[in-house]
Amino acid sequence: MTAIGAMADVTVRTRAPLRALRRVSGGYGVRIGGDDLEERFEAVVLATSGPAAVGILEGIAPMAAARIQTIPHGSTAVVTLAYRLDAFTEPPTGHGFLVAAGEPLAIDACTFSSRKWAGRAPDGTILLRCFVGSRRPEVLIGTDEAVLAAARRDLATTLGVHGEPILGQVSRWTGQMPHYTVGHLERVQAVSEALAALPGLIVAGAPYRGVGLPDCISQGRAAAGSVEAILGGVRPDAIPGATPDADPPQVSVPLHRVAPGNGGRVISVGPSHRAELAREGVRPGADLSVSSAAPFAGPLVLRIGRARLALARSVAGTVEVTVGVGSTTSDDLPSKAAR
Amino acid sequence: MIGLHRHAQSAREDVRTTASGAAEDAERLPTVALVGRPNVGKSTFLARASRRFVETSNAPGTTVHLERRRVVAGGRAAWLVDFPGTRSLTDCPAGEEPFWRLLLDEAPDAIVVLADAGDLGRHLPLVLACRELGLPVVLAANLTDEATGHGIEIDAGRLSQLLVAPVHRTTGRTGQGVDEAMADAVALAWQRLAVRDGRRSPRATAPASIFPFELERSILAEVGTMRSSNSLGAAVFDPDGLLEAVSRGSVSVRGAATLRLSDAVEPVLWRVAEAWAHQVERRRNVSATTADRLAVLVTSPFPGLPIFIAVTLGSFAAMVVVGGFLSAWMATLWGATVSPTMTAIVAATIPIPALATAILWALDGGLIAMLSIGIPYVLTFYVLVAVLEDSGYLTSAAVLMDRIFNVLGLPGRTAIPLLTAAGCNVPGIYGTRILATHRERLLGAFLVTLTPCSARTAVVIAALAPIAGPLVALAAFAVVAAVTFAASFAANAVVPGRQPALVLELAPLRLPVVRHVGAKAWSRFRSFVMMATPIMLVGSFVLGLVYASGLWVQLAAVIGPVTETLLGLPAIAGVAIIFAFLRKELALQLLVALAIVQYGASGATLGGFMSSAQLFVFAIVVSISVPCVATLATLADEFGWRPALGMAGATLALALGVGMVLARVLGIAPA
Repeated sequence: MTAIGAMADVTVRTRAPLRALRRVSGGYGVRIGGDDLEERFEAVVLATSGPAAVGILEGIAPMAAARIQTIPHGSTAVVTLAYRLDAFTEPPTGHGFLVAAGEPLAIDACTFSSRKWAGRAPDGTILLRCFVGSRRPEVLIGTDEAVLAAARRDLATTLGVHGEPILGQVSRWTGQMPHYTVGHLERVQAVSEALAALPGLIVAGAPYRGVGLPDCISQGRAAAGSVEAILGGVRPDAIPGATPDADPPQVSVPLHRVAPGNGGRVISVGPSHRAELAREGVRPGADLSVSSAAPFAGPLVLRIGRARLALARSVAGTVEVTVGVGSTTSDDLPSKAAR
Repeated sequence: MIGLHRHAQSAREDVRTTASGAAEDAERLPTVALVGRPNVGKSTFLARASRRFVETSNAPGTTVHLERRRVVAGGRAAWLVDFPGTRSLTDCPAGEEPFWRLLLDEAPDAIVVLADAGDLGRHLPLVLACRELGLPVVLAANLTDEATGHGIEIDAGRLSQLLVAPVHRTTGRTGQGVDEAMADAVALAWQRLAVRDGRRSPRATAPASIFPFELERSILAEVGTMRSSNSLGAAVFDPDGLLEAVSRGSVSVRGAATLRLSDAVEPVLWRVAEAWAHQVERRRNVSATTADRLAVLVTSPFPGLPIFIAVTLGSFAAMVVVGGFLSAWMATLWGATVSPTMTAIVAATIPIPALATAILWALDGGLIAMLSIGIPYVLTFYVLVAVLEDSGYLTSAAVLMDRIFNVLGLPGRTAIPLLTAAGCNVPGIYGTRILATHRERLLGAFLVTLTPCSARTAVVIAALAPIAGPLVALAAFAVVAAVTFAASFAANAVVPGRQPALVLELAPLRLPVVRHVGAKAWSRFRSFVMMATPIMLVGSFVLGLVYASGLWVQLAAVIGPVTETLLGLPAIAGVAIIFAFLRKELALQLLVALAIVQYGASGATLGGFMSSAQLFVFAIVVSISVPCVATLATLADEFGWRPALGMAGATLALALGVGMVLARVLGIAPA
C-alpha cells in the first residue's frame, strides 16, 4: 500500500467507505467517506466481498446484485498462533489437517504455516493458522479472546500443545468468505453478463475467480486490463444505451388503470397492503400482467408467475407499475404469460 | 444430500399406508410435515403418498383440519401431517395462529415442501424459510406436468446443490416422484429423531448463509440473545413462544431467530428465490394453454357472465333431473318392499299403539326421507360441487361475483360455502372458515342459515308445485331470496366493522380428476349421513310421539289463535312450523298427518284444507324460520351459543314478519 501511495498520480484513501454509486453521463458518480461531494470516475473496480458488492450494486445494477447473491458466503475467523516447539509433546508433521464432520471441535481446519512455507517463523518456533466458523458459526459470536481460547482448546486436543502461545491473533471474515459450490463458474459468468451493460464497472476479488493470493493478483491484472480498455479505447458515453436517457421511455401508472391484456413491472407498493401483497410475490421488480377485470367494477385478475391473483381495485390502486410505451399489447400477452 | 439418489424402485414398492391403529409405536415414529403454498397440490400429494384419496379441494384454504397419516416410505414408517396452504411462515392461513406455530406445535422432524415447478420464483421463498428453521427439508417440485405444458423445465440437480437438500420432480396427479421424495423425507426424519434421542451426533455441515452481511449479523445477535435468555430458565419473557419451541427441540436457535426477524428476512428470501429460479429454469416459448385462455374468458365480463349463468342453471337442471329421477325411484322401491314389511313387524312386536306409531315414524318415515332426499339430492349436489371445485371454476366464479357479495359485506368466495349450504347448512357453516375475519364469518354464517337447504327446498316445492303450480313455487323462492338478501344487507349495516379488500390467489383451471371428485363427494356425503341420520331418526320419533300421543291437540289450542290471527294459517300449521325445527322436510308430512285427524278425509291432501295463499305463506315461513336443530348446534359449535341463538331469533322474527305481511297482502288474515 505504501509503495502504491508513493507512485505519481495515485491517491490512496483508507477508512473511507463507499457511500453511494450511481451512473452519470460518461461514467460513475461516487461518494466516499464523510464527503458530501460526488466524484466522477470513468471506471470503478469493486474489489469487495460478495455481500458488500451486492449492497453497492443493488441500486445501480440490480440484476448483477441478484446474481452475485447466488454465490454463497459464510463467516469465518482466522486464528493465527505461534508456539515454541517445546510446547509440543511431539512436533507436528505434515502441513495441517481438516476436521471431519461430526467431530466435537470448534475449528474447521488448521494449517501448519511455517511447515508449509519457508521463512514464516524463526527456528525453534512454529506458526499455526486455524479456521473457525463454518461448522459452528455460533463460536464467532464470542469475543476474540473466546475464539482464541476455543482454538487453543482444540489444538490441545488434537496436537497436544500446551502452555501460552508466543502470539495469538484473530482475523474475522464475517459473512465474507465465499463458498464455491458446483456451478460457480457459470454463476460468475452470469455476473459478468449482467454487468456487460455497465462498461467501466468491474468486479474482482475472492467471490469470483479464486481466493488465494495468486488468484487475487491475476484478477487484479485482468481488472486493470479492462479499465485500460475503457480509458484508452471506447469512451462509455459513446456506447449506445449507456446513459440513462437512452433507456426506452416508460410511464408509471397505478395498476387499476392498466387495461386487461397489458402488463408491466412493479415499481412500488403502497403501505396499506404491502405485507399481504409481498406474500403473493407482488414486490418491486416483479413482472405481472392484468388478464381480466370482473364486472361491476369487480376485482382485477392478474397473472404473476404462473399464478392467477385476484385483487380488489382499491388494492390494485396501491401498486404502481411501469409500462413500456408500445411494448406491451394484448397480442403478445398469452406467450408472455407463459414465457 | 443424503438419500438424494435413493433407489427409486425399492422406494416405490415400500411406500404404503397402514392402519393408524398402531398406537404403541406412535411415540417412536418421526413426523414429516407437508407444507406448500395454496393450490400447489398438497392434498393430492398426500393422497399419493399415503395411498388414500380423501377430500381435496381445488380452492384455496380448504384444508382446515390437520390430517395426520401413517406412511411407510423407503422401508420406514413415519407420520405425515398435512398443513393448510400458506404463503409464508408468518402467514395465518387458519385463523389467528401464525403458520410457524401450527408447524412447530407438531414438532416435525423433516419437512416436505411442495413448490410449483413452473413458478419457482414465487414458491422457493417458502422452501428457503423452512430450510432456515434448521429442520431437514425435501423439496418436491410438483405440478411438473403443468410446468411442462407451459414450456418450463427445471434442473433439479442444480437446485439440489443450491439448496443443499434433496429435490424431486413430482406430479401428484400421476404419483410420479412422490414415493422417492417421501423416502428421502422419512430417512431424514429418522436421522433427526436419532439425533434428538442422542443416538447420533448432529449433522455438522449447515448450508451457507444466503443473507447479506448486515442481516447475518442481526441474526447472529438474535441467536446470542436467545441463547442467553434460554440459560436464564423458564421465567424469561417469551411472548411468541419461540424460546419454548427451541428448548423443546422443534426448531434451531438460528431458525427461531430468522422467524423473529422475518420482516427483514422475507425480502432476502424472495430475492434469492428469484435468482435461483432464474438459474435452474429452462424456458421454451409455447403458445398459451387452453386452460390459460379459458381462465381469462371465465373471469371477463363477457363471456364470463353468460358462462356463469349457464353453469348455475345447468347445475340446478342436473339436480332436478337426476335427483328427481333417483328420488322417485327410491320412494317407489321403498314403498313396495321395505315399508309394508316394517309396518307389519312393528305392529306385531310393539304392543302400545302410540309407541308403535312413533317408531314407525322414525324408521319408516325417517329412513325413506334419508333415502329419497339424502341420496338423490344431496349426493348429486355434492358431486356437482366437487366437479366445480376440482376444476377450479368455483374461485373464478367467486371473483366474478365479488362485487355482488361486497354489498353484503362479504367477499366473492362466500359463494363456495353458500353453494354447499344449498345442499345442507351444516357443511356450509363449517365452510365459512375460508373467510378471513370473524365479522365475515358471522355474516357468512347468517347468510348460510337463511339459504334454503335441500330439505327446505323440497318443502317449498312439494307444498306449492302440485297445488298452486311451479310458477308459484318459483315466486316463493324469489321471496325467500329477496328476504335473505335484505336481511344480510341489514346485518352488514348492523354488525360493526368493515370488510377487508380482496387479495386472493385463484385456483388454476384443471380437468377434474374422477377419483378426487368421487372421494370428495363421498366424504362430504358420508359426514352428512352420519350427522343427519340420528337427527332424522330421533326427530321423526319425537314427531311421531307428539302426533300419536295427542299432545299436539293441546299445543294447537294454545298457538291456534296466534297463527290464525298473525299468519292466517290453521293451528296445525303452526304446530308443523314449530316441529319443523326437528326435521324441516317432515313439516309437510306432519301437517298432513295432523290434518287427517283434524279434518278427516279432506285433510288427506294439502289442497283439501289450505288455500294456495295459505300454503304460500306456510312454505315461506318454514323456509325462513329458525334453522333446524343440527344447524343451530353447528352455529353454537363454531361461534358460541349467544351468536347462534341471536341468529336463530333473527330468522324467527324475520319469518313471522314476512309471514304477517304476506298474509295481509294475500288477504288470508285480518288486516
